Amino acid sequence: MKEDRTGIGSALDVHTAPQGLLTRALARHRRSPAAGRWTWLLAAATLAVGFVVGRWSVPPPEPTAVAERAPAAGVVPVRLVCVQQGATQAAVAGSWNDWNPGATPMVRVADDVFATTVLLERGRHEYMFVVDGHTWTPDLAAATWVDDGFGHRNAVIEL
Amino acid sequence: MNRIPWIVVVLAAGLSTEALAGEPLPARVQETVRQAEAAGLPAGPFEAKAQEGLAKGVPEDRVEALLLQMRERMREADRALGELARGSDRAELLQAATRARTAGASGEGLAEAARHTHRVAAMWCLGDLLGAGVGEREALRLVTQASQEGDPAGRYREMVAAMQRMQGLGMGPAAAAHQMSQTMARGQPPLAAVPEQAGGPARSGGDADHGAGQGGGSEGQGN
Repeated sequence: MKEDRTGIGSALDVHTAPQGLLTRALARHRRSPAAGRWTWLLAAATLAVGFVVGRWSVPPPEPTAVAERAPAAGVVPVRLVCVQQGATQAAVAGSWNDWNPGATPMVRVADDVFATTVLLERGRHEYMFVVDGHTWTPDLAAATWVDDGFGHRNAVIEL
Repeated sequence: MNRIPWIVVVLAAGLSTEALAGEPLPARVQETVRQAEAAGLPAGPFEAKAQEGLAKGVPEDRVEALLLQMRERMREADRALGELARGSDRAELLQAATRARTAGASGEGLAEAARHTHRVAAMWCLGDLLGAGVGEREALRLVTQASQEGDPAGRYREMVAAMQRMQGLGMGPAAAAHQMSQTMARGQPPLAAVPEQAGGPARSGGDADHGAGQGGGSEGQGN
């Protein structure tokens, strides 16, 4: 029997404990009466965090190459700019991207200023900015707005 | 047995934004959309509005209530338009007509707008003018006036923008509509009707560059 110099071994069954710090810790955990309960709680908490983060997180802004490509016929490039003091990130959610802010992140072009260029088909489009992944903000500089039916104001682009 | 929760933990931690973004609509909302489709209405506008509401964190029952109202308005618009509602642009036309109907357009008003060139754009314009408080008779007169211009779709866009700018300056909808009508009668674009206090001549409606959007305070939507 090896001498235990780490102090962990006192909690283990020295006849069955596996070698290695991690494996010894896992073995100790398995023997704990509350192990199953805490594990399920951890699983539930991780699922909940994953769900919330998954729904609201906005991926890091990436430089868009959209404006550098010649648009296809019938598609119009539209530059959108959001000014929001103190914001760390911004995105656009609208009728062309299923109102998914994760689909159209904006690039920071100056302090508190974010911009992106989107390619839109001819027709009517509505949108809002989403700041810091969760705050829906109207584009107050848009030429036209419309009530979305939920108490918000959508900016309108007609091409 | 104790392996199972650990497997769940690992899987949950590995879930990505993309994996959760494409979740289907709630069952009650789906049923409302299905009923609209069964009534011969296009499902697209309902699905889009449901997606919009849920993405904005609107409670499911409010989304459903709006969809039910939308369904009724679209049915009324479809009945009012009759044969005019047929065509490849049926879904877009009905969506615009629903908006106009919600803003107070009569059946006759919808039918009149649907007879103009660029009828979908004309219908949206009618709905936006009514939503701004312009009376139906005056709104239809403006739409007719714009439809006779060289670029009707552009004129429709500009009229709505001009109306909202004039209202932002404190003008009432009737006065703003009258001023815009007189401006267009002189052969000028609608935005020329906006008083110079707004900061000089307005941009042309053909400009696709939308300027800085000052997010003045959050609307606090979402969880």
